[in-house]
Amino acid sequence: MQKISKSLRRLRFLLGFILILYPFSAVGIAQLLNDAELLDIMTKIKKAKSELTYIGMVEINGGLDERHTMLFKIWVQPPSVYHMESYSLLGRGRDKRFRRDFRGRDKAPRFRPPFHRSASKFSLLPGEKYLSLFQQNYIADLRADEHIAGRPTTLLTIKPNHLPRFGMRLWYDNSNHLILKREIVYFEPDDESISFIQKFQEIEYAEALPDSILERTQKRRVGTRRRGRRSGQKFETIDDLTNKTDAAVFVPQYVPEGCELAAINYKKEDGRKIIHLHYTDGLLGFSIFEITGPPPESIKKLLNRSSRKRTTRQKFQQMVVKQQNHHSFLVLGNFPRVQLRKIANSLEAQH
Amino acid sequence: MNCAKIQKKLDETNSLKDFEQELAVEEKNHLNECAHCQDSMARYRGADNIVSNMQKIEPPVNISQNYMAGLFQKLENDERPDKTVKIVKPRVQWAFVRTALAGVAGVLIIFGVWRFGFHSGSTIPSEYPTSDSLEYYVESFNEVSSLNPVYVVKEIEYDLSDYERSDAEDQ
Repeated sequence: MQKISKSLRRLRFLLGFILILYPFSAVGIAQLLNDAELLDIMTKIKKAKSELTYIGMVEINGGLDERHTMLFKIWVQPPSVYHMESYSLLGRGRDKRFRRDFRGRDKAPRFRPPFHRSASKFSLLPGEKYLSLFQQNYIADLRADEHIAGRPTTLLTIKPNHLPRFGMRLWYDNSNHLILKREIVYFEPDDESISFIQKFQEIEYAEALPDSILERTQKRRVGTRRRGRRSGQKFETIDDLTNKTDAAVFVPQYVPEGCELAAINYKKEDGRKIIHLHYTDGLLGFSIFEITGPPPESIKKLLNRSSRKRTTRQKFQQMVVKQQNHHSFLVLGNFPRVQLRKIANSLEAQH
Repeated sequence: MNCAKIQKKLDETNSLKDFEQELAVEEKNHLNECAHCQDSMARYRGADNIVSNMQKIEPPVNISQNYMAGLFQKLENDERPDKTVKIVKPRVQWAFVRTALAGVAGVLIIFGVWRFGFHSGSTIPSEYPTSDSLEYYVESFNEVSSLNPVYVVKEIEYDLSDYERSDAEDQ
């Protein structure tokens, strides 16, 4: 009898323990994603972004300092309306830039034109081509996480295998896969730091946006950009490019680990020959633009700066310029500035 | 006030006699009292006396005919090698003008087609970036980056690029 009561007490303790831990069980357990699962989630995220209509209040912080937090109100109605306005400012020292832009024009209230890019971007499936490369270079896992803007979310963490490199944390709405919070994280061997946070404070889904906001955006509708003009001539290999165009192609001797050559474009524009090499690791990428001919004004301006300032201050998208004989180079990518500078310095002509 | 009126009348009159006759009573009274107006009158009278004492000469009736004939005669007798005077009326070379205009129009049409293609002006956004601007390269980068699996989540970041650029300018 005593044994039975002792066993029952143990069982009751065990059940209580399980009941206490049950609500947190999903939080702690991360699920590693295979190709099919990752593709499935990305497709759902893409679908949510291309189909959902909503009005929301978004908090954006690019500087990790609370004083630099910006608050935007956004109205989205796919496929062509993406309207974002600065709603208010938190902190000091930022208000003057909302009264004027860098050309000195009035900047607030700022009415954005409809967001046309989304329509063409979402016609692509999310990266099937580079999925295996992505899986080699990153670990993606899923876990249930906090409520954001009052809605339950799942956290998708994308962590790089080769450090230092950027990774991401994405929190999507469980009900429809819309991303409610996003962090760009700089992973280092012994540390990690958040470079960018975008988070919904409030969100309200709707069938359609009010006519008043649509009227405002329609006024600023811009023409469709002629993408064909920019895309130029595509090549499969560098040898193919050198054989067919007789151009001296500068190739980087240093490439960050896990990156592969993904695209080669050649175009003649504004009296210049522009060779565009794009490398990717499946998630992030960098492009090398080799410009033969008169150096572009924007690059000349950057070259005229002191060498320390030849990179822009953008966090996630860095830029390095270089000039060598008759060639100007612009290296642009999502890699840390040090790596981009190393890439630029390792460029050598391949005949 | 009266001084100005009298001065104006003095300037407009042809003869001093007419002027004196046309003066009103109060103007005459003013003229008798005002030293400035009397001075003006005295100067006018002096000038009138000089003109009236001059001898009048009537010009010959055929002076204009003789003058022109004499002028042509002088030109004829000139000692220049080419004594003939030719008045050449400029003739417009319409054939040349037409050809030149057609050429210019042709060049403009070819340049327009080469530069803008067959698109109408309304479909070409004015802010289309050229290879001179950094935006051109950023857009090219974004185009190829869109092949990456999670490019789909980069949209907001692109939209923020304006603010980032202004940030860089502020630095």
